[in-house]
Amino acid sequence: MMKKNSPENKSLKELYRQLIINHAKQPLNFGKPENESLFAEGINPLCGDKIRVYLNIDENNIIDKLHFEGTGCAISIASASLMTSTLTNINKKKATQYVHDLIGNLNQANPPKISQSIINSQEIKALEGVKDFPSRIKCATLSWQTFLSALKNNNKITTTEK
Amino acid sequence: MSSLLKTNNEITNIDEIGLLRKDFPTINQEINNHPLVYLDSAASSQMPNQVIGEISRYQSQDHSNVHRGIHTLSHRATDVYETSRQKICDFINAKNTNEIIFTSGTTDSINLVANSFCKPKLDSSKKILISHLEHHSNIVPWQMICEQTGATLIVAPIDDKGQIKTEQLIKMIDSSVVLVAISHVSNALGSVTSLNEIIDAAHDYEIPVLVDGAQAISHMTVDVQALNADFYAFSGHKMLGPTGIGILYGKEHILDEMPPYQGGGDMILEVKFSGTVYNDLPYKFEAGTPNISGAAGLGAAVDYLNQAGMDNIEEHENTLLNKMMHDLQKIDGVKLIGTAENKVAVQSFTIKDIHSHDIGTILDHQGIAIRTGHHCAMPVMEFYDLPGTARASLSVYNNENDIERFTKGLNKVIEIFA
Repeated sequence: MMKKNSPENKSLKELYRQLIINHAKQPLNFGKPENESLFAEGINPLCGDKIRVYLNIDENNIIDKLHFEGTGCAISIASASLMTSTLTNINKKKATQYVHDLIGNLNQANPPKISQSIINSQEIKALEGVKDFPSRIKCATLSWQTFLSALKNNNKITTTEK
Repeated sequence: MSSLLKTNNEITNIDEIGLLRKDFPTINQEINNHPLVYLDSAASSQMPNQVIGEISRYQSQDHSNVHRGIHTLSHRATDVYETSRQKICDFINAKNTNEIIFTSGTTDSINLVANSFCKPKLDSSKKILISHLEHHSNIVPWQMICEQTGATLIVAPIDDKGQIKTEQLIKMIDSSVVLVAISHVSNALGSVTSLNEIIDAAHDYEIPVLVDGAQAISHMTVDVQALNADFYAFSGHKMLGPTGIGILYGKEHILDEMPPYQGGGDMILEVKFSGTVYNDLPYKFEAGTPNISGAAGLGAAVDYLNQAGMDNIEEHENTLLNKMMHDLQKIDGVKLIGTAENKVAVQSFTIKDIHSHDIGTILDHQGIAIRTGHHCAMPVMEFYDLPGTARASLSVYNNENDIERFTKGLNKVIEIFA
């Protein structure tokens, strides 16, 4: 009766791939850096996840520093960790497009266009496991949304609920 | 508790409790290809066929507006609504039905007391006393009226086991306190409050006490006269009834003196532009067409609880709680949060540093429903310095197999995060 919509055992393994577990246990670029120029905070009020994103943009509009800190589930921490490694040393405009595409892709709202290459990367593909778990998609997108706010140095808290 | 509706179906043997599970259609289904194990009754309990059937019967046979028409259906609707009020009155041993106000739930009940009883009495010299254990619904309404009036919200501390420090709470009571608002049972931890001592101490200063009974009402016999509580608030959907219906019990002489909370139909005797005469209790606090089918369902839920027997339910749930606590402690890395000496039907826990949502997702995948996160009690989580916990809560329909499936399911969590 419920079989049709239920994720198979496979999808649990897709969600908690070893790569995700590893990033959750030992996230990259975790902690507040010195001299960051831009900052934003994001929360998921439904679960209390809280992520702060710090970044710096050099004179050529390249994101040369991208860090995060906060508390959250394995998915949100791993996603934030992957975000920092993916977007560091990328041009600000390109990064913005990547993030919009990625969020769209995870929400299955609009298919990715321009930044196909980055979405096809193995690491980012690992996040796609959330697609079978609707309640966890926001865990995966929180840090990326917060990144967009940080680019604007938006001091208002970003929330997944809007 | 005065018992009512002694029927032939009434359970006399605790062993028969296990048979009640078949009454709950939601429980008897598969989730993610596994038979459902529902351990989230503290968030919302499931309804038995008797409740669902009564709601359906009312909607399909008796529905009309209450207290209005002279036609037959209006009489029937009124009869269903007022019979339910009488059942609830008897269930909690109130003195009479004037003391039973239908609300939309515990939150609505507390907001009613905050605005109608407290707010007119508050100024910058006054205080409201709560505890660190409260659900947000017994924190935020008080913060709001304190903000509006300049009064102060003071918070009694808890100990490491998750129990209110009763002596310290009592020391915080003085004549500047307008109301003590305290939970009967903590929703996050299951701790049972020592209400008798607190209520006696407050009454020494003639300070009334509001008890948030949302988490107690379906797990133990509640006798508002024996407790001597001035207000007692609870929700239908945490006692096998539907959502959107709840109760505010209040002592009649206190309710009598309180101004109406909301204006509208049903709460008036006479409306003129020169002035309106308010209706008597309990209608004074029930503006607008009420949730009649919700009241019908709640009445049926009370019948059901009475037939199962609150003593039987308490014994059944305590047996399961003890097994759950025992089995959880055997799992490497599990830490119980909330180990009060007197507790009911709820166990919060953590596993190593695994986030509770990951625990929740992996259990759900095995057909096991628990609550994860802050449980609308963020100050409790802050006390334990945790972003959240996993919480398993029990009801009449749970059995030992549920506990075994649950603890086995946790091993899968540990395996994935190994």
